[in-house]
Amino acid sequence: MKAKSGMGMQKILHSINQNKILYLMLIPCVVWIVLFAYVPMYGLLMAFKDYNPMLGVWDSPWVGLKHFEAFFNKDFWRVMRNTLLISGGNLLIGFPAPVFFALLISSLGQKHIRKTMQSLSYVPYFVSWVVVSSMCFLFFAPESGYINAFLRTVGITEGIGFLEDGPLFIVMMVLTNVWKGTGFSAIIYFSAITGVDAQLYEAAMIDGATPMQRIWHITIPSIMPTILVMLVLAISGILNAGFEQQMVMGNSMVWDWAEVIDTYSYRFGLSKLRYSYGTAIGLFKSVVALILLLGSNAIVKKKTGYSLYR
Amino acid sequence: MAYVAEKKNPLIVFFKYAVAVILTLLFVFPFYNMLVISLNDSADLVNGYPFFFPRVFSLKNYEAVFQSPLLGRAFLLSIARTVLSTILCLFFTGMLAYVLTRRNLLGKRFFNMLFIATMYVGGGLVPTYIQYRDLGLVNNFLVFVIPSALSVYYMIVMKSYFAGIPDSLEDAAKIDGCNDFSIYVRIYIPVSIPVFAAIGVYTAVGSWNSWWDNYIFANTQDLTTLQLLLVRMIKEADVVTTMGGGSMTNPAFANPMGVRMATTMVATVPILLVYPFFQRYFISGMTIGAVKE
Repeated sequence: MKAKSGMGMQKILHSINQNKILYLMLIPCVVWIVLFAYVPMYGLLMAFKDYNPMLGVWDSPWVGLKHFEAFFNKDFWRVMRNTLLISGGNLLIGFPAPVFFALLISSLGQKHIRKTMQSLSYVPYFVSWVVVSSMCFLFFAPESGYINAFLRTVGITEGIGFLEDGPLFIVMMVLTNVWKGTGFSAIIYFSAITGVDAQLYEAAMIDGATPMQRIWHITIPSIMPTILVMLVLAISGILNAGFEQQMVMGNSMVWDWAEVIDTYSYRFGLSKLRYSYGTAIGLFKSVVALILLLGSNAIVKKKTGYSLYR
Repeated sequence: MAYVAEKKNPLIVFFKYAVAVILTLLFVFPFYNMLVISLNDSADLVNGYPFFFPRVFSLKNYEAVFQSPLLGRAFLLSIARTVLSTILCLFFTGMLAYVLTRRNLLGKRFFNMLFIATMYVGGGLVPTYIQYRDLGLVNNFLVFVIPSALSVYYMIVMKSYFAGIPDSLEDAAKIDGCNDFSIYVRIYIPVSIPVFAAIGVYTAVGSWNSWWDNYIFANTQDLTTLQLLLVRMIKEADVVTTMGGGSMTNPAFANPMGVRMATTMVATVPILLVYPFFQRYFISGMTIGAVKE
C-alpha cells in the first residue's frame, strides 16, 4: 500500500479498469460477507438494548449492561459450571487421547494393519450427533441398554441412569465426544509422526535406546510443535462445550447439568424470544473466546517460540 | 544406512496389538450392532437387543421406513441440500481465493482483512437468526445453501494451494485471450482438484449431518431433512406419528427401536458408502491446511 501512495487517481482508475473482471468476481463475495458476517455483528448492539422487532436494532431503547447483570446474577454459575466441566473433561481426556492413539498405532509393525485401524478410527467423526445419540440409547438406556441389561443379569437390579443422572450425563457427554473425535484428531499427529527424521531413530538405536526411550526422547519432542498448536486451539475453544450434542442427547431430567453457554443463549434468545438477553450471552462468550485465543497463543509463544500466527 | 536388528519382546508386541484391536472395535462395533438390530424382527426386540447377529431376521423395519410418506421427501431434501451447498461453497470459496491471490489487485490487503477478521469476531446465534429472518431465509430451503456458500477458513486453505500454481499459467492464458473468470474456471479449478475434493468432502459431510440449522431456521414439516426426522424419532416416543402415520398396522412398529435403527442406518449408510473413495482426500485436506498455516 505504501508504494502506491505516489500513484495518481489516473493510475488507480487504470488499475481497477485493468482488473475489472476480478472486482466483478469479488462483488458477490463481499455482498455475502457483509450480509452474513457484518450485519449480524452490527446486531450485537442488541446486547445493550431492549430489542423490539417492531423498532429494529437501531431504534430499540438502550439499557446499558442490564442483560449482562441479569445473567451474572442468575444462571451464570450453573451454566459456567456445566460448560467448564464438559470442556474441561474434553480437554483432559480428549486432548491426550489422539496423541496416545497415534503413538500406539504408529508403533505397530504391520503397515496394512496400521492403515486399516487408522481408517476405521475416523468413521465416528463422519456421522452426525443424531446418529451417535441414537446409538447411545442402545448401550446406556435405563431399562433395555446393554450395560443395564448386563448388570441385571449379574444381579444388580438398580439400573445406572447414564442418561438421566445429571453429573453422570456430563461424563457421558465427554466420553461420546472423545469417542467421536479421537480417530480424526489423530490424523494430524499421524502425519507429524511420519514426518520425523528416520535418521534420528537409527542413531538412537545404535546408541541402544529402547523403543520407549525413542518415543519419549525423539517422537514426542519432534511432534511437540503440533501438540502445542492443537493445545492453543483447544484452550481457546474451551467455551465451545457443544451444542448439537446437548440438544439431541439432553432431556428434562439432566437439563440442569446439560445446559452449556451455547444452548443457554439459544434457549433464551430464540426459544423464549428474549433476543437481547440471548445476544448478550453470545457476546460474552465470543469476547472470552477471543481473549483465550490471544492469551494462550501469547503464553505458548513466550514459553516455546511457536506461534499460530506469524 | 545403518540398520540394527532389534529383539522385540513378544509379550509387549501382543499387548500393543490387543489394545489397538480393542480400540478399533470400540470405534466401529456400534455401527455394526445398529445394522444387526435394524435387521431383527421388531416384536422380538422385547427379549433384548441382539448383539452380533439378528435373532429373527426381518426386513420389516426397512419396509416401514421406506413406506413412510415423510422419509422419501426428507431423504431427497438431504441430498439436495448436500449437493447444492457443496457446489456453491466450492465455487464461491475458490473464486474468492483466486481473486485474493492475484498479483496486481489494488486493495488486496483490505479485502483480505475484511474476510479474515470474520473468523475471530462474529454476531453469534441471535443476531444471525434475525438477519436470516430479515432476508427471508427462515423457513426457506435456501437457508441450507446460501449461508454456507462461502467459508473463510477454506478460502485460506485454497489460497495456500493456489499460491503454489505458477503465474506463467495465468500469463499464457491471458495471451490466449482468457479473462480472469475463465482462467479460474478453466485452469485453476481443474489443476486444483485435490484441494477442491478435500474441501468438498468436508462440506458435503457437514451438510448431510446437519440438523440444527434445520431445527432452528426451518422447522416445518415440508423442510424436514433426514437428520431432523431422526431427531424427532429419538426425542418422541411415538414413532408412528413421527413417521407420518403410514401403515399403522405394520408389525415393525411393535418396538420403536427397530424402526429407529433402520432410519439411523438410512442416515448413515450414504456416508459410509462414499467414505472409502474420499478418505485420501480428507486426509490430504487436513494436511494441506495444517502444513501451510
